[in-house]
Amino acid sequence: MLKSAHSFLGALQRFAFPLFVGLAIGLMVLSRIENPTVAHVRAEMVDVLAPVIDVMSRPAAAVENLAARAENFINVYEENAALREENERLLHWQAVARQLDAENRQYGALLSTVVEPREAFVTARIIGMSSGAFVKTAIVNAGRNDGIQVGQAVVSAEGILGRVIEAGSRSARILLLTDLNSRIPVMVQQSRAPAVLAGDNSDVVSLVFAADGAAIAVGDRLVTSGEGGLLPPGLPVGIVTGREGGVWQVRPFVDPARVEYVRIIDYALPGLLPAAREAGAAGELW
Amino acid sequence: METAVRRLRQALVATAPLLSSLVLVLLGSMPLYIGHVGSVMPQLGVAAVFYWTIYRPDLMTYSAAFAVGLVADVVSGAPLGSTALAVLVVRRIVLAQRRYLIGKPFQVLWTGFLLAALAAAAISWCTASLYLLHFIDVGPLLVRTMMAMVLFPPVAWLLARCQMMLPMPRAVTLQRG
Repeated sequence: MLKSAHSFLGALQRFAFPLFVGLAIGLMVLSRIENPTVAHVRAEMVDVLAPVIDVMSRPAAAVENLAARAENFINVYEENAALREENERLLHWQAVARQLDAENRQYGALLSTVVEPREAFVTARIIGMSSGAFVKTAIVNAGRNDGIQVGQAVVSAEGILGRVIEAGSRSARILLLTDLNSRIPVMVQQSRAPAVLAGDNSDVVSLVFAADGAAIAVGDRLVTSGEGGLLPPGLPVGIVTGREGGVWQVRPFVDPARVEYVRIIDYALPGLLPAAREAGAAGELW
Repeated sequence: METAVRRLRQALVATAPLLSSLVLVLLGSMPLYIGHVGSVMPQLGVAAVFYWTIYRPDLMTYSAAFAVGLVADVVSGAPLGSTALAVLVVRRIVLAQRRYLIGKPFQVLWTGFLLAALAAAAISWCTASLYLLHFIDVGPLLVRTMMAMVLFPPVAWLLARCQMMLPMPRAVTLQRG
């Protein structure tokens, strides 16, 4: 009896390699055809691991803060001078912005413009970051319990970082702008020329579906256009850095690796895309 | 009471390689940012599976290696099974070359790891390109492999500390004696 059990285990060990390789390939195929069970299991597993990653990422953040502090200490004089100068300039811009805001309100009232829905947001900490061969994603320590849903925009102080693609009950995964699968409707801030921002897993992103002869130039700032209704319009995206092979290259304003806390915006256009939201809640968009 | 303690000890010994590997996988997903280098945290799971396959292949089985790869995939957001496949192949290769690496100076082990990490990167590149139907950029993968090389000595040191706490397996004792 013992001998047969032993030989069975031996046989299992002998066939373990092809068995597990087959299993790995099978799982990849299921991921590729976007099997909902696989997506669900993945979200649940991240949920289970999230507290552990959260605790482990704190010392890493502390080390990072220490390094940043040391760097700040060295540069304190130059930085102070630069900040004073910038402060003066910004105070001027603040006055201009206040003036424009007041004017804008007046014109809006005169033309009875439909008021944009006010957006709510949740602040979360980035606890995991992956920059592997396949994907550019990050994990945050807030999930469905905090009101986070698939499709919501994720921003930092500098601009948009990406959007939520997977929401567990207490953790969520963000697809960064640089990911191969990331597509964001944007427009040029000045000329309002629309385009779609696409990532390719490298650090630069490019503009696709820009009209031929569209008013785009190096140095233009891009903002989200809000087309499709999932992302709020006007979020800063990046700056056009050049043109290569007929494609405009863009450098995003946000470097995800430098961000610790993000805001996840709930931009609820009433009655819009209910089906997409429901599918998103179940994580089926992944 | 004594048997319970012994059993707990046995269970801890049996799962120590797996648990230490999982800790390294989670460490590898930390959003650590170093100056102007950017986020280049490598896949530390490969290093752990490499180390344990050489020194305790009885405890780092194919199933354990698969589990390490799967958790790495879940945490990194890569398609389930992709890192698992790379890690399984690494275990297979290392197991075949084990006798050239065991008991050798650290430089030999380090070179062996470079080859294993490059093999893992090559597998990742192939599966990713096939999966995405798009030839992905090799640059970031190579940078991460170099980063894994740099981090291998401290990782190996930590795992060696962990290994010293484990009792020797009978087979290895016999081989050496």
